[in-house]
Amino acid sequence: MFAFVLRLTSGDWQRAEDVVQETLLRAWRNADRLGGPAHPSVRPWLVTVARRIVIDEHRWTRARPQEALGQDLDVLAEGDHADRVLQIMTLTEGLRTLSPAHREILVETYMEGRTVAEAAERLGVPLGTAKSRVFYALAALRTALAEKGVSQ
Amino acid sequence: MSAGPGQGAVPHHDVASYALGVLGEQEATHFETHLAACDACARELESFLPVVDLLSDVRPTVDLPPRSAQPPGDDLGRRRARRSERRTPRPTAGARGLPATVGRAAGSALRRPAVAAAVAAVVAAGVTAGVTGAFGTVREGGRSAAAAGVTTSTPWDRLRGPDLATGQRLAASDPATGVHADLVLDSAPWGTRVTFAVSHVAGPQTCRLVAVRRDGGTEVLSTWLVPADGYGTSAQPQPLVLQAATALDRRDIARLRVESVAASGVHDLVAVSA
Repeated sequence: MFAFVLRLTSGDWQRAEDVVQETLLRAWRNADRLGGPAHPSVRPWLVTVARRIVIDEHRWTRARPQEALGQDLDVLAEGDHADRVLQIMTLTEGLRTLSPAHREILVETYMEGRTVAEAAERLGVPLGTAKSRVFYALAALRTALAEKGVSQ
Repeated sequence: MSAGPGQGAVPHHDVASYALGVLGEQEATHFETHLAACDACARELESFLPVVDLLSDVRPTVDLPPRSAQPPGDDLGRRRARRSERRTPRPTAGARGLPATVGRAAGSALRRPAVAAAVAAVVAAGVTAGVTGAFGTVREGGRSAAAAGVTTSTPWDRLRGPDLATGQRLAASDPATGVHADLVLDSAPWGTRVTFAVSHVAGPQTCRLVAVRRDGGTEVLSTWLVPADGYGTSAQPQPLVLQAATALDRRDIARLRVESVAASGVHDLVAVSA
């Protein structure tokens, strides 16, 4: 993660350290949420939060009160239980309406715990094709959620 | 840079695989290099995270229509186990010892160790990075929240078992009696495990859970007493959570009924189609 942040801060080592530390603090504060079903892979979450911190620092030039930190995590937060059940139903419906190839790639990768490269080999399709299917499958699900107006 | 596949091409499409956590280690690192410089991908990633979050609660064989011949039950368990095996080593190394109770939803029981390990790694890193002083209280707060297992939004949080991760969830409320039942049915080699929660039920009364077979026959799975305060009521807010086992095959169960049993007779409190 440090290498990633260092790139965001254009090589400013000190700032990168600050950002990493702040990111880890937020992760710690949200350990319960991260430990839930929300984030099977914590890495994309950390990277996203780190990037937001860098952007916020730009915007406020470091003059922000401590309390404001962490608010932006709401985007990744869950609503109440009923909301979530509704969203899962919408998502399930979205999965049903995906093309077979798109549904298949999600099952072969995410659902069955394979990397996209492993899935491509099993399915006998080029890696680029497999990745592209993952992309359009996930984009279709995102659209399904947005259309139902149940996405945030 | 790493000599991973996808090198050379602009890997915008990788963002979805990255969000799902299905890129290989090298590829993920390679993608992060691109991500640091690509605002479009960063925004895309952010918008995918809530979708991935929800996807983690969708169970493939239960929620997806069977497309090919997929053996039910144990096959799912095996695949889940494999997924958890594969994912465990992926988050940063050197992280053990955080109890698997971190986290909340029962649906992810099998994935929890992997995530717990990752969070433990994060925590360890945070500590070695010299988080002190003003941040000390923050850390304390985080620790207690994580240790407590936190926020219960379903009755299942109080029960932990392999069936809750893979079982089929059912629920129903009876408009006449107001009684609500949540059930999880889980196939096993010996039959079906039924975990159930009953709320909005008044006491005192004696109740039982009955399975109705497809052939119309019935089987009593459990009996219990509801005390005066009831369950899932204002006097006793917690639902009653119990577990039962039956030799019936999951596919032979048509309905489940919660009934009230009294000297005067038996009447239905709530019925759930299985």
